[in-house]
Amino acid sequence: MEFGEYVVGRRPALMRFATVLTCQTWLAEDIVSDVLGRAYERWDRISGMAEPHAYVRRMVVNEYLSWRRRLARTSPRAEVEPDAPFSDGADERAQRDALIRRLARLPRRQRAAVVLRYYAGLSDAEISAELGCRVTTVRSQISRALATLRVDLTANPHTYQETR
Amino acid sequence: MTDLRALNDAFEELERRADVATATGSFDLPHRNRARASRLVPMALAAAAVAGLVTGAVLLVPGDDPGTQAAQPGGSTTTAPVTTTTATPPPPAYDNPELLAERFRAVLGDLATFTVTETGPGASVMTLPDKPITGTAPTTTTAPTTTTVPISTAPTTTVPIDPGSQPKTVGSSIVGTLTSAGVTGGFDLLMYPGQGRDGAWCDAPDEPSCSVRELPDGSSLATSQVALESGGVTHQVSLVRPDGLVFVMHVSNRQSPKGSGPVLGAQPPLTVEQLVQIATSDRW
Repeated sequence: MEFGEYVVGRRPALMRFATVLTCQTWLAEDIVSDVLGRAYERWDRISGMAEPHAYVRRMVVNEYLSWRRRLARTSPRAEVEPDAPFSDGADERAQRDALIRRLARLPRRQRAAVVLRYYAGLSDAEISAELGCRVTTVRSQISRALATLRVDLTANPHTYQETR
Repeated sequence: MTDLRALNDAFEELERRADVATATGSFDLPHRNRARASRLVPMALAAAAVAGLVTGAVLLVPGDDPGTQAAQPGGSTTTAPVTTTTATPPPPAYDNPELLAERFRAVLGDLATFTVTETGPGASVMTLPDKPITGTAPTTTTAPTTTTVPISTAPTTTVPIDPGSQPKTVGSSIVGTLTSAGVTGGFDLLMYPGQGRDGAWCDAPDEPSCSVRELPDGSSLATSQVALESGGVTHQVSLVRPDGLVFVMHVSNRQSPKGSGPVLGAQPPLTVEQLVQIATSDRW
């Protein structure tokens, strides 16, 4: 697959992933552009992999977690704001936006772990490979993050992660 | 307190915002003459892995409590115990992979033959500690006034987890190759007792071929046909029965049921309609 095709086909999905990961569309755009630029340089190798998209997605995670970006880009721009005021007095919308704000304030690694689990659907072991930490660390990160998010899994005690 | 559904809603809202940004922004390819290269790369279901799984692989089971009542200090809350009863004399097909394969063979009849190369559980159950999360903060949130995103703040509440515990698994799965009418391809099949609160889903819900519908008996059925690069095609069916049983099956024209590996045929050995017949068979 040519790089151009990849970009046309996958950039929207990468942007979604990066936005969920960063909670900031500007940062997502920034990261995705940077990552695609670097992926382009190495496209010969990347496109030969079994799952180029998974690799590029990992580049996005790494870029987001990288010290360089952490130091350079902790800019005072606020996390995404609702683009419309709370119209209709919709409580649901207010609650959702509150949850997005809590998500945005999570420590990065916790947020990455939560996003990889509940958005990308990875298993603990896959997340540990992706983030380069131990499985027990992944579990505790997710557990802490859910506590901070006030997501209560005791109300719904079981979730199923299929094995195939 | 909220549940995982709310988290999914938040993800969906963020996706929507991403789509808006994607529509308004553009990405310019770097200017550099690339060496011409023609490659055929199997991508498996990577698109599904990113775009689709919001509603996909992690099946969330919501609690009964909508969680909208105001907190009542001192009020006692009771949580319904989760009991599973498996008292029927003939064990269910998902009881173990061997039994699953045996029933599968019976369901298939003359339609197809198969060999199993891999077996395992159907799903792992992720259960957080039963200790309630003790976040006592009010549900009203004020707009954050912070100007920097905290890099690593110690969490105010911690939930103990048991690092040594293995995730509990339920159900069974089998993987292998299947031949029908002279056409061979990869398949996988998994079955497990869920709680039936969520309907069936497609691996890639954005695919035009994804169809989700309700059956007369109250089951939820999802089917899709996903075309992959370099000639891979995967047919998928997912069925969630009213009793909570989850049935998922993929067939592909390639060795891996998810569409990677050597190409074994021009088409998957079973059509989507045949998969539906298998899923809804009363011989399970």
